[in-house]
Amino acid sequence: MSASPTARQAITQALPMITRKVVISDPIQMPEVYSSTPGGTLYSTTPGGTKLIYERAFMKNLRGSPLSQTPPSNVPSCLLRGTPRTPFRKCVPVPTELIKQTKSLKIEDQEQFQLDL
Amino acid sequence: MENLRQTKESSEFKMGTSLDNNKLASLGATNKHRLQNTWTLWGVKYDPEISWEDMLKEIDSFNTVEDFWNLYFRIDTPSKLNRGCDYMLFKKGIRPMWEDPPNKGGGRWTYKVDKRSTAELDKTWLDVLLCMIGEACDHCDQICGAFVRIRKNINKISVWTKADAGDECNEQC
Repeated sequence: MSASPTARQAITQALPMITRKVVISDPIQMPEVYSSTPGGTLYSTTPGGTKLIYERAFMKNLRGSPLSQTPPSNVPSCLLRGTPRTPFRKCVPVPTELIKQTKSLKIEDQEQFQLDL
Repeated sequence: MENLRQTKESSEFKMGTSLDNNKLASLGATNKHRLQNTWTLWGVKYDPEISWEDMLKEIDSFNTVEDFWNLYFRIDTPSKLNRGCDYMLFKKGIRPMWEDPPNKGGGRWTYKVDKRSTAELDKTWLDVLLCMIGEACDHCDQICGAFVRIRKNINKISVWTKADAGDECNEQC
């Protein structure tokens, strides 16, 4: 049984199973839940299993991947690293939901105006 | 004669380019590591002229490890934010406010970060993000998202839990 919680995708199912050994040097390191493996999780680690779990160290290793270096296309320019400070409302369009709320507020204002009359 | 040669060269170049594009597209599609959930990053930048809800902006969403790094590398780290600004990373479909149904009735854990250590703030925030998106803790199903707040006296990092989170979930972490 593999102790590694690293998730595997369908395309990589052909790869050999990676086994990670966890050395227990103190009883405290044993997991609280009896049914879980040291260093593992409650969830099955079957290849192509139901839950995608990544360790922090594994994800940090992916920082250098060329796929991690592509700039995202739809981030507002004022949030990009190194750009000068600009208020959000000047560079990010207002979501449609907020526009609707604003219109409803205007309607309320009109009603108040009529009540005054 | 020369015109015919130029035509051949240009067509060959186009074919090569299209092949390369196809390869790149297939690489992107198959080699990214998919996450269990899709996550949305929000930001709040303090502006005294408008309400808090109008300050709240949806930045971007991602569902692979590589797309997370793409976003992380391009925006400012928390230590670079001005006072009064926030970052929030929540599961897609959950808005980062108490009134949202998954958050209402839930709880949160808050960690106060010393104002003098900007490195600790950035490192802790990144560790919280990686634990959340990687589902690396026992009760990840109960987590809605996380906050980092930049304030005058003390910075805070919070993890928000769902309304139906059990006692065991609230005690751990």
